[in-house]
Amino acid sequence: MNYWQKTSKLIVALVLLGAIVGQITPNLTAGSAVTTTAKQKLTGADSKLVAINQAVNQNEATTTNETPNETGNAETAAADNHDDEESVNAEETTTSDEATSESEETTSDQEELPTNRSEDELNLEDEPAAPTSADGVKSASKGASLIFDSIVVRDGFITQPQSEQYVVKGTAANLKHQVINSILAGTVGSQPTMYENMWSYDEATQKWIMTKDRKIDKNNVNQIHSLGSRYDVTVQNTLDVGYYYFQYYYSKGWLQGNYYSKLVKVVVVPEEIPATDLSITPESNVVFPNFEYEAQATVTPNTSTNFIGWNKSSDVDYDMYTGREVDFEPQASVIDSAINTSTENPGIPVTLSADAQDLTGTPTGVSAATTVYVGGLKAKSLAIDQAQKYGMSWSVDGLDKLTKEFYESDTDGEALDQPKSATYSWRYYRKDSSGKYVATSFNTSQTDNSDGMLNTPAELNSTKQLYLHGDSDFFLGANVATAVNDNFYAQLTMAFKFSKETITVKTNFAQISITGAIGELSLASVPDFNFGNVAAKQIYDGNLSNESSQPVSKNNTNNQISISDTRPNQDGKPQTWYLSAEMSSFEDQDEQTLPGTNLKLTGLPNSLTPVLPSDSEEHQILSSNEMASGNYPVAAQLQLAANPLAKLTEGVQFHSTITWNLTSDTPTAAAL
Amino acid sequence: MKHLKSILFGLAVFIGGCIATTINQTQAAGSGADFTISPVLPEAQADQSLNYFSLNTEANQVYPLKVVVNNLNSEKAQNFQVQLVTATTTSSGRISYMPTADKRDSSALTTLPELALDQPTTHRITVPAASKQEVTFTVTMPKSNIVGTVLGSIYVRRVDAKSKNDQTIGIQNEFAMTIPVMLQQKNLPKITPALNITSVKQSASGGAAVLKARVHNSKPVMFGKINMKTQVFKKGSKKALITQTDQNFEMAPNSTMPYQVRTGGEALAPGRYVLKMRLTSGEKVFNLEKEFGIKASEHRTTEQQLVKVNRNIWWLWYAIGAGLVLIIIGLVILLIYRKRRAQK
Repeated sequence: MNYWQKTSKLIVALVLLGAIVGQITPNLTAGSAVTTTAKQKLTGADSKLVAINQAVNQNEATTTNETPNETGNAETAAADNHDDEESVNAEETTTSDEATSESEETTSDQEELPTNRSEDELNLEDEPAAPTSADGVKSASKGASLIFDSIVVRDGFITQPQSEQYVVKGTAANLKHQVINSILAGTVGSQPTMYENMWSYDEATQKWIMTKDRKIDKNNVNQIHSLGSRYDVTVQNTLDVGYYYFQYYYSKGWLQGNYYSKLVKVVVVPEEIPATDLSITPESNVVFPNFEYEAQATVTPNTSTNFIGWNKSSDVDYDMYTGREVDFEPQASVIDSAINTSTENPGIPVTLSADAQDLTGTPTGVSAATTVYVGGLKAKSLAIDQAQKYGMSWSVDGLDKLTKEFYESDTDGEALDQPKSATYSWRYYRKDSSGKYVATSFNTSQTDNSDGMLNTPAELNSTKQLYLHGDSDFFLGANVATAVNDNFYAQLTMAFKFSKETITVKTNFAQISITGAIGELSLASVPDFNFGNVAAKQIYDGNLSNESSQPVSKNNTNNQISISDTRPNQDGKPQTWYLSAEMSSFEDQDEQTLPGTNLKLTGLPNSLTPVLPSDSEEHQILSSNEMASGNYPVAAQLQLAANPLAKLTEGVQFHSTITWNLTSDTPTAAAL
Repeated sequence: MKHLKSILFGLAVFIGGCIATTINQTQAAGSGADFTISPVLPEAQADQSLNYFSLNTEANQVYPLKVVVNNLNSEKAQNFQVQLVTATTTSSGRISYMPTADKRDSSALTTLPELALDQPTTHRITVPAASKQEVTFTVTMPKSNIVGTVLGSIYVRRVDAKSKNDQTIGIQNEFAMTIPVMLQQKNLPKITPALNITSVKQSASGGAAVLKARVHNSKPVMFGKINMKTQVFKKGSKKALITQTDQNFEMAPNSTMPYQVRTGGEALAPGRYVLKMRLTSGEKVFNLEKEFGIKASEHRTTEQQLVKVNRNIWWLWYAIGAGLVLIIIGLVILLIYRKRRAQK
């Protein structure tokens, strides 16, 4: 037996050695550098949430039942966790300005980290992994969808409890949540009984201890709506310093299982940890009135005990005014009373703002604000000759939310109600003889898709996109109106017919100005390339040899190369133009570059796929020899050469600038 | 079994750490140029149908180079930088009319910006919404006139505020338009380019080794339709290590083309080499030759940046990981075997 134990210790040591070797040499090899990055990425509420969800999901697969005395397992797990967290900690303890570029120090700091902890202190650097399905955690049900306070697409949790919070011992944690329970609606006792499972972490055994099925006191329940209930659950000042997780559930109905909330974390710490920085990320930058959107406040450090207070505004309604995650609902009045004149803002701008508050609710001075645009419709401005040559199309932003709320069913594939049909219609407003703006239909013989049926909202930017023909009388009228400063404006109305009622969604009003003829050459539009997440492996290894792995630009709806050329013909032929571009190298904050990064443009006519290298040199992209002027939707593939020595740390950002250069004509360099 | 699990868990953490993570990369704002420029061609320009300045100049004469910058944005004023630029030659054999960081070519007698005597060669202007503004550069020819061709452009770039969002990574768009300016001495004599290779250096570009051969045209003449054939030899050898051809290149007057020769992924070993280049344009043929050396230290620097080096290390780590797994599985089997035997 003695031998047995020795051998097993040796094995564990070997494995740990492997892990440590991987840790301390991050900049020598690609593989271990990724190790560092992987861990450093696990900061910020978002990634924590992901981690929790992963923990929840991943454990659905593992069905093994561990006996409580299997301490070997727990020890190893804890040891490895320790390693993991130390990277994160070193990161967190540096100031926010430096936090992004300290990968070397992060690793070298490891040995110097303090290991002595007093009893009543909570080592936030040694946070245990979330409880898993093995501990009794259930995967969260898909959130409820309640539209315009009247139609329930899905039952379930419409407001989840806060994903994570750090509270000072002796103060309350906020675990408020709301549910929609349409099946019981209107009946006696329509508020379902809510249960709570709590896990507390036992430092001694390094195990999660579950406190099961606590019934939420009905006194805490508020009827918020005929269809739903709010559960004002606060865990009072009874918790000791430590780690806790909570999950709430209620029955779907007789023998039909339960709706589960997300698994949420509460960490009770001995004293206040002030926030040093705050930022706000809305679910979407483009929003529609009467829909609920999430807004997430990211606090630095993540362990801050400050409350996040959201500032009241007449433009948006919040479901809660305190918390890192809140839902906000833009008010219809925002779009009823304004016309968007900006060709860049997809709607009427409104501000979301929040600040960090200490235990007494006093703002600490750390605050954040962000702008969202209500209504989804940008203004249009183009010259009459341009309009007559190319016509005009109009796209709508922010439609994803409509698809998500109206058409997605719940985890079990069941949807209580979905639109039976949907229609849309565009109207423009012009001044009549008495000087009042009146709604007017587009002339359908000169306009495509001004009215019709929709299968999905996304069609409004593709097969059902509004398009005004170049010969449309509309442009002449709009041109006259613009000249006397009585610009036309337009609005799109969508109607979704549910079984019981019809939901109407409107965009904001957006101005159309048709200006005088230019008779000029101009670069009307270039694409904004966005590649979403790029795997670190692609940066280390490159992707040149595997074209299918090259990231393709996203949201290509508005990505167009558009050359507007309304110059008169010369000798009966269109005049020439050349479009070139120069892309600077991709550089991060520390002037680290990614040499060998190219953009390959795809989607252009005549099978043209120009490649733009990031070499700060001018490169020909297109010319009138190859294609006529006009609008061309274009996407880009991001080609990355291998950069094995790249140092990729958390928050690394590589920036580049493309200078698009349009030239009408160049001298010919003749042969000698 | 519990020990096996703990071992596997440890390994999973170790190997899992070696597997990729993601980096946020997004875009910056911007959509259209919202401006256009057009030349106001001077009377002295013979061919008024061109969309660029093309002047046959005379000594001591003064010519206005005027452009109209038209802000097409009907809502807001925009800022522009209007600049006189000297034409250069890119590594891919194109004449570029955009500004570069290159130094002034020492062989040039004069350049376009230098002809704008006592004037700023860069203007920053603000054009109100839906308005136009003219910018004029006056170029003065020297007493003895210019020699050959002076090539450049008026380059107009829209100046935008830097993207505010620090969170986004990726690509910001900028917009520019250029109007080339070609000044040629009246009664232009035939000038033959004088070409030579000023240097050849090895470096890594995006994980692949390249030789950068700088080809200098020291005469005030532009020429095109160039066919190129480049070969690299080990010094003293007649067998070409590398052959590369290119067609339809062009060169600006008094400019350097930083031509790149791909060495096929591998870096050339330290030693002495000869690069031979044959350029053909119309009837003219230029044979250039340059001996160069690669030092061991340079070679090492290049090697470090090549893809294959990384591959080895990457796989080495996987190999170590796999080796560990095998050792451990072996040990576990051994343990289980011993335990069973002990139980018997």
